[in-house]
Amino acid sequence: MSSPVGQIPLPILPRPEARFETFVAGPNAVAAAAVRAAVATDGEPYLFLFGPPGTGKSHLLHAACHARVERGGTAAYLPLGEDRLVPAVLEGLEHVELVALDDVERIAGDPDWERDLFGLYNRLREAGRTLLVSADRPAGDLPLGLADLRSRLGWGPAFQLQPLTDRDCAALLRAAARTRGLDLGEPAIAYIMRRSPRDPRGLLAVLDALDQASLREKRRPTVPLIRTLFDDLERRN
Amino acid sequence: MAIWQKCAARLKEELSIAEFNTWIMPLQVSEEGGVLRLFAPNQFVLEWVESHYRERLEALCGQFSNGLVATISIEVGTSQREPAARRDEATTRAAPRGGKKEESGARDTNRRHESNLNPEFTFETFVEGKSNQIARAASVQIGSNPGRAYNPFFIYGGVGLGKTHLMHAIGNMISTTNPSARVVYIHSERFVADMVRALQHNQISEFKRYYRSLNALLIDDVQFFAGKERSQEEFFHTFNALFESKQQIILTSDRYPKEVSGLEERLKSRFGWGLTVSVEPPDLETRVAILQSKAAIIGVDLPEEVGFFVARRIKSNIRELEGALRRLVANAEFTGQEMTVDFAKLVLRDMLVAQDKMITIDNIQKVVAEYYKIRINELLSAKRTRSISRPRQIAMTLAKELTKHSLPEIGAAFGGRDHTTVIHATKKINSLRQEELAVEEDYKNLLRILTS
Repeated sequence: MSSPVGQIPLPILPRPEARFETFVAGPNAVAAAAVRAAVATDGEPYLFLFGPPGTGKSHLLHAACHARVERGGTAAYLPLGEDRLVPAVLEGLEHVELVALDDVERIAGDPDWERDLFGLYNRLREAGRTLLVSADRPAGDLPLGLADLRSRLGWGPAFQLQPLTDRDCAALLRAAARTRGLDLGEPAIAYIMRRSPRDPRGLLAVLDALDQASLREKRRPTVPLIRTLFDDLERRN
Repeated sequence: MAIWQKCAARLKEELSIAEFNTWIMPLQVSEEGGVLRLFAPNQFVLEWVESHYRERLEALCGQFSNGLVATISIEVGTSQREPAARRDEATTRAAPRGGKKEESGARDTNRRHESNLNPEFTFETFVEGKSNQIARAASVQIGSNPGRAYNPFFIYGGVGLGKTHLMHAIGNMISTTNPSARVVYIHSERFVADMVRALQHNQISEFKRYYRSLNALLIDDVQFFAGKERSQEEFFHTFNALFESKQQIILTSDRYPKEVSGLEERLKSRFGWGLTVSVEPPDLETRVAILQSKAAIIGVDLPEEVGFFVARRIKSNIRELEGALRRLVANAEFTGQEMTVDFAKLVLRDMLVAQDKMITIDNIQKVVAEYYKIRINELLSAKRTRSISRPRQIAMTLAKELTKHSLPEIGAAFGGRDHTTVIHATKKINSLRQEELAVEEDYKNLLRILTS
């Protein structure tokens, strides 16, 4: 969460947002539907999402926060893997209608975090708030010291998120290019799929780099430009 | 408010999604007399916003209001301007609970009566089985005769076995019989936090008055008082005041009062003054009944064989059982698939793997050796001194109870012993559990460690 100023390329690009509409569900349609239902408050007030990195957990959490705020509610997103956060950040969150806790495995084993998270869980439940939690593994496998917390995290329905297939990845690339206003043809998509890491994060990073290169060089994002981009990237690595 | 929305929209463009959703999104806002008041959920968020975003926010505000709003105040709390109607609706829809009032504004200064009782937790929705029938019977008595039958009432047992449910059920019963009774359910962590806050805001006498004026005080998980001396002190006096005026006190913990470490002796001894009951992990039939009852509450028809399949595989606690059921129901709803055993296997595969993985003979040996502070190779050795043979017999009994291994397999795993040795061990331990409290406690503790 470093200062964003230095990272913003000029001219400022429209920042694509994590929304339900931009979520390429692939094998994760059930999880996405469950999160949407939870946001609409007619679903479960507590959900647990787990799966390896790059399967869309953070995207869903962000989308949920956004959707709740759109409905006139309040929401907070907490990336627990962020080192600068301390347990005190959990205080008073029961006054927020939807709380999304990302990467809960990162605080497992830390007694202070576990105690305060346990407290927050109970307060949210008492207040009937929506809680969404994500982790890289099932709640039962988290190395938690506090059995009470493990048992509570396993209470609601859990959804396992799966990596996207190549076809889903291509769909994601197509959709992400569209939201960036980038006219990406099928040959270009096929070319990127062959040469870049095939996970959403890697693909989006390539797309962002391509977006900037296209702006900078005032060239359309066709295979030749992409080839130059990849060559550049390889040279730099 | 329009100004704030413009500021927020601009910040959204400037910050990463995570930054925006972590720090800006949870802020609540009100605007009065040229001042934009921001409310942060806690001190940490407040300080972060102060140091990272205040300057930018003030600049944006000035810009969007043509200089009319130039000052921002940031405080901890919630916005009083929040439309009450929406808030109420959101709360009741998310959790239909009676008598729950929303706090707003300066939430710490007005201590209003809130019972925190969950109306869903009643005796009607509590599934009785061998493992909890005494606890339930005692709870009903206390609910119908608060402050008179047993005081305090102390329920202990492992996580997710229904302690909290019983506690709420008593509270609900008291409130139903006598609607003017002041009943409060509170988790011990919350009690501690509230007390600390009261101290900080110079409201400790109000805090005391509030808790000492109750007709029934229900405190969950008192083991979390451990090491918090000031809270224990305060709770001690509250306890005495309520006890002397014959008001009901109900407590839960994950272990027997005397075993709760980090608690003052005088509290421990008081916790044991009334009636202490335990809740145990439910047996298979009860687990099936629990699943059926929870399914009926959600309005789902759970096929019997699926109920048995889940109950057979998930043994550790009710909360996990409920988690499995909710997951099944959610998956069935979203995919439109029928709830069959195969479907359950697929949907719950990671939970089932975790359960299978946890209870192996190796694991039992490791846990038992750790518990008795002996080495695993001693457990497997030919040594016959009681300090080794008793833990060995307990480990064999647990292996028979918790795994599907045959008796010869269990014998072999314990240093190549005969299956008759296993039979002897289980008989011995089962009779000792009846006769010696210490053996029974050890056995139950180990069972809890292995299955939770």
